[in-house]
Amino acid sequence: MKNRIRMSRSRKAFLWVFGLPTFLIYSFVCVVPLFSSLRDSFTEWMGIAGTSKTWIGLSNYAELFRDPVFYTALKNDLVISFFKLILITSLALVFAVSLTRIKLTRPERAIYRYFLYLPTVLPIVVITIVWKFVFEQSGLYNTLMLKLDGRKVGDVVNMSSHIANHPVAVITFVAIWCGIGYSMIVLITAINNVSNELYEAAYLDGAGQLGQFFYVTLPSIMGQVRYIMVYIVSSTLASNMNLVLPMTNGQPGNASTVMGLYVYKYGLTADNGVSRVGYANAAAVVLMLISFILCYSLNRLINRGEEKKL
Amino acid sequence: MKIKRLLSLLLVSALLLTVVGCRKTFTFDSNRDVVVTQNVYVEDTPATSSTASATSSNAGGQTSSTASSEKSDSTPAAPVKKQAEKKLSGKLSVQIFINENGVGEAAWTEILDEFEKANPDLALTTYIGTNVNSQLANTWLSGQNTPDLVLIDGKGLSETSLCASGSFLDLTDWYRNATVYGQNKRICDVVTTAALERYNGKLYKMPLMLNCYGLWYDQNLYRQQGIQIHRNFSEMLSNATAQKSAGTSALTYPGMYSNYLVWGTVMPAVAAYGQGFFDEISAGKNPKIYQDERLRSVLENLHSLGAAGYVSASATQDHLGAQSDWLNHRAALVSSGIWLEAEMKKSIPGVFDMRFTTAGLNLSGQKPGAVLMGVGVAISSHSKNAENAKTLVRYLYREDSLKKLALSYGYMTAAKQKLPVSAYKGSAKQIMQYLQGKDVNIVYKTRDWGNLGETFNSVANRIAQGKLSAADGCKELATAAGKNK
Repeated sequence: MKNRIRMSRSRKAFLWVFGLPTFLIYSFVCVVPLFSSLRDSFTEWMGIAGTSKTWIGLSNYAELFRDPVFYTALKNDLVISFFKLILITSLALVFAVSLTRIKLTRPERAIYRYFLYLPTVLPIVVITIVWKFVFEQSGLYNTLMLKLDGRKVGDVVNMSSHIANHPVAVITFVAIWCGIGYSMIVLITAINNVSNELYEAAYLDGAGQLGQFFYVTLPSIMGQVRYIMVYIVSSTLASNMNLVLPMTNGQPGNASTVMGLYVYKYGLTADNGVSRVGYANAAAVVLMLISFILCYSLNRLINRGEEKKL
Repeated sequence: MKIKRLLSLLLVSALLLTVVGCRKTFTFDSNRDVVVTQNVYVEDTPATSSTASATSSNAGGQTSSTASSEKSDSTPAAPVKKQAEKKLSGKLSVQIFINENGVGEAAWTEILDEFEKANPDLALTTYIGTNVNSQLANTWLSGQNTPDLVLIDGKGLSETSLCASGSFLDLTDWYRNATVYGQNKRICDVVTTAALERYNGKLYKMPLMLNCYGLWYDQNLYRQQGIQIHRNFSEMLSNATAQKSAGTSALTYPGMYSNYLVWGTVMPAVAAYGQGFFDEISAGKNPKIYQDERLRSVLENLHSLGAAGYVSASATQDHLGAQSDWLNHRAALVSSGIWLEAEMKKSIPGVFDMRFTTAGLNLSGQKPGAVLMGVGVAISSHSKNAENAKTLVRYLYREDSLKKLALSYGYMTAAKQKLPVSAYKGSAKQIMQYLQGKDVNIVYKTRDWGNLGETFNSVANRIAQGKLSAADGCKELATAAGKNK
């Protein structure tokens, strides 16, 4: 016989009072725009009040899948997401373990944490300006190379711009640099919650630092690792544009464009001819679907791994 | 337990109040100063009317339009009698974009101040500043509470979209009969007719000033390097060789915003072939025109510069990066507009002798072209104070208003009667001398190429870096023009 939890009337009222406004706000801010975006993706519309919204069926999607820039944007998004996923997760894990398991004095630990977390709190525009100063043709990197080669600084005009030549690589590097801090803090918190008794038991069983990491630390914080992996994938597709826009604006020749920027340029920028909000919505819907599929697949993959272990 | 309930109720109330509060903040009220960035001119200004104050039943500019709408711009109409101006009442709101360095702000403030003094019963609200376009973007998108009059300038305000959506008032008929405020002149007799840019045959923007893109150089650097500024492509190429050996690139540009490159180098060379060819290229509709030999030769010249390594690696640079390269003499020429000196006033080294040219990719023996683009105002089609806005437009066409604006921006005035070169200061003097001289082929931008602009920018950027051939660039442009709606 099932035990039913009977809720008191006051508890029900309490849940209604708290749940309903949140649900309404969520619906208004997220669900309604989602459906209106889906509806608008089947129209030709400029996005300005008073202009006609013409139903054109799947034409926007057909045009989208014929556009080579769309595939470039998609490829760049996937490349950035993949490297962010692998490198942020592994580096954040290494840093988190180092800062918690290696014997450091408190000031040392604080300094390391501060410097590793700093990029997370810096405004994105500052980050892009700083790294542009490093990787542009006359930037710090080329200047240092010239000095190491013993050549004149004036020779910089004969050198190439690393951002222009390898825009996606530079963007990925910067994205990883500023993404490690948050994941590291999440993992540090998780590691600090692992009971010392487990480490002592592992030590008595003869496990070294590496053994303790694989048999105690990693299994204990797998929930948080899973969280940051899903977080990286879900946030990357939406946030890539924040870096790309001030860093390269998708240049040269759309080589560094990403889906967010693609949507933005068609739907929201006011400076590129007539805005096409219907078309931008079609691209946004595709981006949303890809984001959902990736997050869902990743979650399933990790969960399956966990189930097998059990 | 009671305390918990009380706390819960307080939290819920706070949540609801926040929601209610947010709703109020999002509602845009044109008379509130929520989005007013700098100066607000509101009612109750001391009534000291300085200009024509006699009462009249005619508000001026609204003279009879019988049959006149059919006349061409240049057809002389019946003589217009001098009209006294009726004092305005009611409201008027104005949106003025000003760049980060405040170029033009003083002139706008002065003109609007005078206009307000002339109309003491008018409640004038001015939204002026660097972010004003983005702050008021929602009003234009929703068509609600739009400012009555807007200066079409700066990022965040799509002239093309707003024209296409009918957000601006059609001034085609009005401007032919409207008179300059307090003066016995019609606007169509004052303004340079060729500079009127039309969208689908309709006139939405009234040009006040004329802007121009080209190449800036430091005359002192050229003196030091013992070379003369080029007049055509072959001279530019030979200069570039000498400059490269001296550790200077020939050209830099902001690749992130390659429209600077397009309008500073490619389009002046297109303009060198005359207004007709320039119009076809800038219309963005006919795919065949982008395969034309003339355009291909212009793009081949650009490619030659890039492939030889004479252009800075600017493909992803922003305008500050490009200007910094130029100021540090890492590049001899920077592609930009004639506003550059006013924009960079504080950063220009004293040793710089800033000069401007539109020559570059044009052939030997061919006059370089220069494209003049109107910078002007439009009236919102949603405006409830359109008559007041029209009167302000008429006020802006007064000789003194046009002069103040042109001198403040360093632009050429859109009036037929150009200001004397001596009226300008700094490098603007050289620019006006150059643009009003005989050695340049002036064309006016009268069309909008809509969504082709993005492709053109991208193509030019890659060609300048030697990564795309001119022939492939032309093909890409032709394909994009075919799709351009």
